[in-house]
Order: sequence, then structure tokens, then C-alpha cells
Amino acid sequence: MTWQETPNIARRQFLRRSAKAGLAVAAAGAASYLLYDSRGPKADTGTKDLVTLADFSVPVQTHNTMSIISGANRIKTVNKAIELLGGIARFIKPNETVVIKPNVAFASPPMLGATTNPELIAAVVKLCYAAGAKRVLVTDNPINDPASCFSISGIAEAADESGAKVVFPKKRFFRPTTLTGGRLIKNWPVFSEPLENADKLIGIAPVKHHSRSGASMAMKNWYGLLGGRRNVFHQDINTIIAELSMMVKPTLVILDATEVMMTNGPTGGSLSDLKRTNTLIASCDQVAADAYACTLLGLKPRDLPYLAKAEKAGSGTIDYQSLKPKVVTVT
Amino acid sequence: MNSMSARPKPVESAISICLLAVLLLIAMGIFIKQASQPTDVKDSADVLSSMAPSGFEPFSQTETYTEENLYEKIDGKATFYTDAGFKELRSRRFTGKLHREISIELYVYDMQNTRNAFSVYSRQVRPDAQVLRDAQFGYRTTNALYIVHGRYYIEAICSAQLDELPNVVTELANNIPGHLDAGKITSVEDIRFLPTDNIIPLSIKLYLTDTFGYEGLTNTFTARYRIGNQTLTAFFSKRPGSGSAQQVAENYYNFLIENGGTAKQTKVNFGARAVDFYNTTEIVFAIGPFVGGIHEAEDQKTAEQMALILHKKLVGSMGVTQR
Repeated sequence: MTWQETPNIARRQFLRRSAKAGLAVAAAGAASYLLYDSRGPKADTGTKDLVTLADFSVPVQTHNTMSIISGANRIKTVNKAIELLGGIARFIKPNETVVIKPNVAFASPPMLGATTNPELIAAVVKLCYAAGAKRVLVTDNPINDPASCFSISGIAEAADESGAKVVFPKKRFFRPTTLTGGRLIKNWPVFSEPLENADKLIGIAPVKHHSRSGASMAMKNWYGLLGGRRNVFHQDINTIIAELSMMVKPTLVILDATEVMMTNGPTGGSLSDLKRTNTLIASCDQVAADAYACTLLGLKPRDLPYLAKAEKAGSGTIDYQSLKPKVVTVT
Repeated sequence: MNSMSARPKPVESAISICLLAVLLLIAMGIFIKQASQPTDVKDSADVLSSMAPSGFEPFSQTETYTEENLYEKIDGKATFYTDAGFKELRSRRFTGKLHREISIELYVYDMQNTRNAFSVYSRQVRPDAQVLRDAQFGYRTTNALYIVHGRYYIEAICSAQLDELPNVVTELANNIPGHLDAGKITSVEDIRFLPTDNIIPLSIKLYLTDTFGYEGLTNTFTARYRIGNQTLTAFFSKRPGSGSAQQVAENYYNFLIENGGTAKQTKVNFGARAVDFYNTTEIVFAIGPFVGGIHEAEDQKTAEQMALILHKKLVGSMGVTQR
């Protein structure tokens, strides 16, 4: 059909249709004008709803920063480790609220060493109450069914029997945070609610091989405080661990290397992934704790790039020997 | 003056109906596609239940994970599987009917083909592995079973020592192939290109990517060998053709040099090149479609000896004429 064959349209009909088309264009334009945000999306550094985690560290005591205890009995080693750093009273004051952050990443039984050993949780909870703590909370953010993870790992029962309260992650417990000087943690949800009313924070983690980062120890344990699709950070694992060490300033970290997961971490699965090294580390310096613990995995601190990044960021020292750690064997 | 009819013409109506019909067909296709997957594990809950040994009953529902959310189950290890062709994981936990404290968790990873399944299996072999003779590839440890069945990689993790549960190993090893339909079982044929003399049992691994930290060395079979009191790793990667093999060998050699290696003379005479790499010997060569070599040998003489054996095997296996 050529233009000459186009059917004629009545003048009135043409005007009516033109008016309708004009109205449609005007309506779309008006809607666009009303919805247009001249400022664009909010920058990641917006501060209105952001939370900043408190500094839970205690004053430094020279040569009282790190202890390394040999022994097979976790209750004995953790008690000795804390005693050598000045005793639990140095860390926990009467009427304080204490948060204990274990590694409960998987629904895995304690014997497989993929999660923090429940005996250790119970021992530290009891120490906190002995020092006069008002409340002790035990919390982590396992992505997959927290109730199963806490139950099967034995941590729920250990916390319950020792008088601590387990706090499961809920959506409303997360608030966004931006790490000053950070590259990855920008407006990212963190499991902040239990920490917002806490006075002290103790991290307790197993020493494990990790297929992405090389090792999962004290600093990597804070990964469990991240919400959202945190697996995206595995693409830059060294940076995120270093940033976590900047974001979280704990009172104390405890590393359980009674049995370490040497291979196939962080999940493991076979008892043969584990090696008994009968060591427990307590430290106010999380970088130093990790720097020493990685040697139990057959690694050197230079094998884990996040250690150098964390040291450079001021989170602690790789040179744990400079802290003159107290090394003791308990039987 | 003629005016255009307000009613559409029959042709316009017909075109509209055709377009609507096409859209309807597309919608039906999407619905059918979504409703029909997964196609292979028919009723996943029943399949995993039927695989469980007698005396155990389900403790949890069957959980299903895809590439999108695998990290929710095995955060920190998900990319190990997704980088190797992972399609889907189904897992379920069972507890003992009489001993509730004993549990077994079954993990069935659909890796899409046997080669991918073998890759994730082989790279996690435990040091105390005891071979399961009846499985395509399989071994047990003190508390767990690890099996490749066609495109599936299966883990059965027990919270107690298996020696205390003598029937569990046998039943699981039998139940898995009996109840899990993997379709046509294919073999990992390239394993035959590795020399068998002096090989350390269960040391064969398949790296689909990033072998020895070099991203250009893909689809690589490695195996550990003990020769006298020395141990070393032999490897090969089959490329699309000889040109590709030559290029990958050249690039891998350059990678070693750029990362602290130093070139050294070698007595092997088939174009192999040797590198001193932090007091270990590396050898790399290309023959036909293969890149082959030796990794982390404690001494050069043993490395050259093994390189000759590997080269001969590759030449013989493929009928490639030595150049």
C-alpha cells in the first residue's frame, strides 16, 4: 500500500487522535518529571542509618597480650590462657554484657572441627559469669538454618547449660555499616544488634584450612557478622578479612588448635582432615594470634596476604614474637 | 471523503490473534520447562531416603541448592564446586533409630558429567582413604564415604566412626548406585595416559582450571609418584591440537620463569625445558596434543627419568610420532 492508497481520515477524527496522543505524551512527561530524582541514588557513604561497631578492646598491658597453651583439655588450656593474660577480671567487669562470637558456620557435629568446640564456649561463659557479667550472649550468623547450625554443633546446648543466651540472626538485627577507609564494606548489613548493647566481645574460633583464604582463624571469624549475599566477598577474600579486622575490635580472641583442620576446609567432613596439635591461643591482638596459628597449619604468615593487609591497616602485628607471648604446657 | 473504519480489518485481527497465540505458546513453554526440572533425580526426597542405610531415618527435609545459593550450605567452599561445573546439591540428614546421637548427612552433588565429578572428588581425597572396590571411584575414611557415580559426586558424612557401624559402609556403597539414576556411566578415559608404575595410590587429580596456580594450564591430570626415596608429580593436559599444546607449554614455562624460576640445562632430548623453581625441578614439554611435565621434583635426575616415562606413555597412548 502506498501513501496514495492510505485511507483518508476525517478531520475531526484526526484532531481527536492527535489530542489523545498529545495527552499521552504529556502524561508520560509529567510522570517522568515527578519521579525524576535530580540527586541520583544515595551515596554508599550516607550516614543516616549506618551503625559503627564499638571498640571492645581493653587497655594494653605490655607483655600481657598473648598466651599460647599446650594441652589436650580445652577447659584447662582456656582457663590457663586467660589467667596468664591477667585473669578474666582484666577483661570482664561486674554487670557487663558480653557477646561471644563462635564460628557456627555449618550444621556440623563438634567432632568434625568445622565449628567452635562447645566445651570451649561453656568454659568461657562460666568465666564471664564468674567475673560478674550480667549477661552473656552467644551469637553468629550462619546463612543456612541457624537453629540447625547451633543445635548440631552442640553450641546451643553448651550455651544454654552454662547460662548464656543464644541470639539467632533476624532481619531486624542487621544494620548497614560503612568502614572508614574500607574498600568493600560500604553500606553493608552487619549483625549489629547484639553488639549495640554489649560491653565486651570475645571471638572464639577453630583453626582451619580454608579453600579460598588459605586459613580461617580469628579474623575470618568476623565474616559471620556480615549479612547480605556476603559470598561476593570471596572474590577478594584477603581484603575483606583485613577489613573485618579493622571493623571489629574485640576484647579478646581465642583460637582453638586442639585439633586443626589441615585439609578440605572450611567444611572438612572427615576426621582425617583433622590433626591434633593440642594448642590454644588467647590474644588481645588478633593479627598476632592468626600469625602464630597459621604455623600450626604448616603455613607461614607470608602465605596469607590478609595478615600483611591487616597489619598495614593497624589491626595488630604479624611479629607475634615481639609481644613475648606466654608459652605454657598444662597437663 | 472516505474515513478509516473504526473496526479493525479481518487481516489485522488475524495477525493479532497469531501474535497472541505465539505469546501463549512461549508462556506455556516456560511453564513446562520450569515444571519439569529437575528431570534426573525424580523425587529427591525419596532418592536420598532410599540411599540411607537401614536403622537410620530422616532427621531433616531434603535441601536443594543451585549455583546461585550453594554458598548458603557450604560458604567458603562453594566456588570449589561451581568452578567445576556444579549444577545442583541435594542433602539430607539421617539419625539412628536406636542411637539418636549418631547422624549421617548425605550430599549428592550433580556435577553434570563424570569428568567434573571426578575433578572435585579427586582433589579432596583424604590421606587415610581406603578404596571402595565396587564404586566407579570411591573411598572411605574413618567416618565418611566419598563416591563418584556417573555425573554425581556423593559424600556421606557420619558423626561416628564407621568401624562401629559395620553395615553402614556396605549398605551406602550399594545403595548409591542402586537408587541414584545417573544415566549412562562414562569413564574418565584420559587417566590411562598416566604411567602406572610407582604411582602413589589415590594420588590422581584432575584440575579443570588454574593448575599449579597458572590459569592457562587447564584440564590437567596430575599424579604423585614415588621413585626410590623421592616423590614428585607428573602431569599432562590434552589440548585441542599440537599448536595449542606448544603454546601452553611455552606460556607455562614463561610463567615459571616470571615467578622466580631459573632455566637450567636438561638431558632429555624431546624439546623439554627444565626450570629450577625454589630448589625443586620443574620440567615442561609438548608432544602432539599434550602438554606434559614434572612438578616439584626434589632432584633433576629423577625428574628427567619420570619425564621420559611420561613422554613415552603419551606418545604410545595416542600413537603420536615423536618429533
